[in-house]
Amino acid sequence: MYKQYLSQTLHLLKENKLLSIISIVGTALAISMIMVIVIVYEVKTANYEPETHRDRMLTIKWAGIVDKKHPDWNSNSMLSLKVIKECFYPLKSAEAVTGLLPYQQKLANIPGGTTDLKCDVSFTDAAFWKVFEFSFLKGKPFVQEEFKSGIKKTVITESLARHLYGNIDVIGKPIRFSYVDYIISGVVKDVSTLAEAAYAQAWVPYTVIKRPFYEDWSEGLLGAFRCYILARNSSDFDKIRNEVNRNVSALNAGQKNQNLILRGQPDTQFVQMTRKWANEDAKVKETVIKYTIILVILLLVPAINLSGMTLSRMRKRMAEIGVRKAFGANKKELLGQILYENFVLTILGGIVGLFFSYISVFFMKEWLLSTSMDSFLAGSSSLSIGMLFKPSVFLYALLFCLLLNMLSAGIPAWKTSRTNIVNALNDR
Amino acid sequence: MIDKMIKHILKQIWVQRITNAWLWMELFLVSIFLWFILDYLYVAVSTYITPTGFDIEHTYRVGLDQMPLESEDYIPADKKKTTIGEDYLTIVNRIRNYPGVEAVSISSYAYPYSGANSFNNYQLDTTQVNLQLRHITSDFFRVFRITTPDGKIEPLVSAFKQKNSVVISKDADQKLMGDGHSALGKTLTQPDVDSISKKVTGICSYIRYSEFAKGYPCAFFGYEESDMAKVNSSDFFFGLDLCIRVSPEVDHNFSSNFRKDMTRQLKVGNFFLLDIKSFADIRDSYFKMTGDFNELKTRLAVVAFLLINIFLGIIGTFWFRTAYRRGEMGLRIALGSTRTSLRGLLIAEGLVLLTIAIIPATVVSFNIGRADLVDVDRMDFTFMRFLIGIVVTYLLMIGMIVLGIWYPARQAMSIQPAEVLHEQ
Repeated sequence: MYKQYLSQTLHLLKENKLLSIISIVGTALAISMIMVIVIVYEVKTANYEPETHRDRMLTIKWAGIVDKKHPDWNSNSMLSLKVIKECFYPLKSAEAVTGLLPYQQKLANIPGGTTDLKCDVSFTDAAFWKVFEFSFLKGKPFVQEEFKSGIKKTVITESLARHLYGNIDVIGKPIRFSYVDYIISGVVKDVSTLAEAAYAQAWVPYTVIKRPFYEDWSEGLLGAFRCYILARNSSDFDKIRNEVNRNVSALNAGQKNQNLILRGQPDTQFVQMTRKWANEDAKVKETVIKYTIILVILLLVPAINLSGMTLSRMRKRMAEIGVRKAFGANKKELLGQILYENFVLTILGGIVGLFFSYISVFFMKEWLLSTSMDSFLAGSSSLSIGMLFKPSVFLYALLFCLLLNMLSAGIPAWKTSRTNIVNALNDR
Repeated sequence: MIDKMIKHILKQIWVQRITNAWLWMELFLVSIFLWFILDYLYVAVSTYITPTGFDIEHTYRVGLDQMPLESEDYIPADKKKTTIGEDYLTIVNRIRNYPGVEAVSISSYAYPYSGANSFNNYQLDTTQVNLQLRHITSDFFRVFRITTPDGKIEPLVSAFKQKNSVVISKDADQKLMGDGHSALGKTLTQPDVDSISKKVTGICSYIRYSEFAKGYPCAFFGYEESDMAKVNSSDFFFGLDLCIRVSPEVDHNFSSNFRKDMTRQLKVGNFFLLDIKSFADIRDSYFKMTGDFNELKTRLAVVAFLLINIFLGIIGTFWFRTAYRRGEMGLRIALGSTRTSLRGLLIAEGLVLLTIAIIPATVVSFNIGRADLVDVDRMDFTFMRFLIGIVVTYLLMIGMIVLGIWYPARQAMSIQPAEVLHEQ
C-alpha cells in the first residue's frame, strides 16, 4: 500500500516540478536552520572527548563576594584556591573534584632555544585527569603524589610538541613556559577550544605556583580558579549542591567582613552555557524563551506557507479524492495517504536541510559556535566527527520533520478527507 | 478608476478567500517578526555608526608579564637595586624611544574593548552621578585621540597635567550640571569619602565602551609617572596596561618587528614582554566575546529566512492561482487586456493583500514597541523609529511579492487566448 503511495507521490513530484521544488526548498530551509540550532546545542552540551562526562559534571565558573554590612557592595571574579580547598575538595557526594587555573598565556620554548611560542597553559591537580578523559599518545599524566610535591611536570598537546621538537617522542624532555622549566610527562591529542573546561595546550600542577595571583584581596575568597565536580550520577546533583551550600555557609561563618556567593552554582553544562558574566545570574529562562520563539518562528512560518500550498494541491486533486471515496476509502485512509504523501516531501526537504546545516556549522563555526573565550586562545575551535554526527541529531531531525509535516499538512489533510463525495466528484 | 480597480481586486481576493487566508496569515505574522528584527537592526546599526569618541587606528597594547617566584630567573627584591616601578618606567621609556612610536600611555580599566571596568558615584554640589572611572596618564588622550567636544587633543593633555585634576566626558558634565552650565573649574567629590576631591579641568567628547554600547558618563583620573617610580608592589603593575600609538609609516608588520627588536630590551628586572596586540585584534576578540556581531548575523539570517518564505509562499500560491484562473486570463486577453496590464493586475492583487495584512500587523507591532519589548536601552522607542522600521518592512515585503509574482505572471501571460477559450 505505502509502496504504491510512494510511487504515486514521486510521480506527482515530477509532474509539478516548480511546486515540488518550492515545498522541498521551504522545508529544507526550515529544517536546516532548526538543525543548526540543534547541532550547536549538541556540540555545546553533549559528551565528547575530553569532556566525556558533561552529563554528570557540575561547573563553578565564577564567584562573588558581598560585604557583610553593605549587601549592595559586591565584587565578582573567580574562585580562590582557599575556597576550592575548603568548600569543594571535601565534597563527599562527588566522585571527583578538580580545581583549575584555566589557560594562562605563556611563552613556550625549549630551554636555550630562540623561538618563543605563545601558548595556553592550565594549572591543575591530579583529579583533573579523572574528571576529563584525554587520549594520551605518549606518556601519562602527573599523579597525586607528584602533584602534592609540586613537581614541575607537564602534559602537552601533540601540536605543541611538534612545533617545538618536530615530533611527539618528547617524554622526559624539557620545556620552558615563561621562564619556568618543566619536564614533559605526557602528550595528548589537541583539544578544541569548544571544550571550554578541558581546553589548554599544556597542563601543569598548580602546586608549582608559589604565590597565586590576587588571592590577598577579598579575604582570600576570590582568585582565578574554576572548579569542576564529577558526580557519580546526575541524580546526585542536588545532594552535591546541598553539600556545597553547607560548606559555603560554614566558610562564611568564619569570614570577618565578606561573604562568598555562588549565584546558584554549581551549574550543569546547559546552565553554565547561559551564564556569561561573573556579576550576573545564569539566564536559563531567557535562553529557553528566546530559543522557543525562534523555533516557533522557524516552524510556523514555513508551515503556513506549505499548508496553503498543500490545500491548493488538494483542491486540484479533488476529483481523484472523490473517486477514492466513491470506491470506499474512509476518512482515516485518506488522512493517512495525504499525510504520508506530504511526509515524503518533508523528508526529502529534511535530508537536504540537514546536509546544509552540517555545511553551515562547519564553514561558519566562528559565528555559530563561538564561545566567549575562544578568541583569546591560541588553539583552534576544531570540530570532530564524533562531536557532529550523533544519533541524537538525526533523531531530532526526524522529529522536527514529523512536526513540520503535521503542521503543514494536518489541516489540509483533515479538510480534504472530510469533503463530501458529491462535492469532491464535482470538483467543488 | 483606481478605487474601482481596488474594489475589483478586493472582490477577487474574496473569491479566493481560502487560499488567501493562509497567505494573509503568513504576511501578517511575518510582518510582525520582520519589523521586530528590523527594529533591532536599526537600533544596532545606528548605535554602531555614532562616534565612539576614540580612535584605535595604529594603536597597540603591549602585554608585559612578570617572572613568577618559581622561575630560576626570578630576581628577589633583596638582590635588586631598583624598585619594580623604576623597572616599569625603564620599559616605558624604551618603548617611547622605539622608532615610530608616537605616544605611550599607562592606564587601568581604561582602554577600549577591555572588558574590565570600574564605576563609582561622584558628587558635585548636591548632584550625584555614577561615573565610569578610567585611570590614565595624560598620553592616553594622544594614544586614543580623545578630544574636547570641538575636536582638540592637546588642551585635554595640558588640562590633565594640572595637579589633582579630573577630566570628565560631556554627558557626565550634562548630568552633573544640567544643560547650559559647565562643571569646569568646580570640585568633584566622592560621597562618604572626604579625602577625595578633584578639580574638573577639562571636558572631553562622549566616550563609549564599544561601537555597540551606549554612552556612559565617564571620568578620567590621573596617574603620574613620577609617582610610580616609588611603587614596589608587583600586583599594582599587573593591573596596568601599556597602550601605544605608532605612526602610519611604521604600521606594517609592526607587532612582529616590535617583538623581534624589543624582546631582549624589555626584559627589565622581573618584567618581560609577553605579547603585543593591535587594537584591531583586541576589538575582534572583544566582539567575539560579547557576541554583538554574531547576534547581528543571527538576526539577519532570520530576516533572510522570513523573506525567502514570503517569496516561496507567494510564488506557490500565485502559481496555482494563475493556473486555476487560466480561463479568466484568456478571456481578459481576448477582450483586449495587454499582457503587462495583466501582470499589473496580479501584482496589485498581491500588494492589496499585503496591505490588508500589514495594517493589523502595524497595530500589533506598535504595541510590542510601546510595551518595551524591543531594545529601549540603547534608543528610545520614538514614533520615527517605529515608522522607519515599519516602512522598511513594508518595502521589503513588496519586493518579495513582486519577485514572487513575476514568474507565475509570466506563465499566465504566455496564454494563447484561443487555446484557453477553446478549453472552456
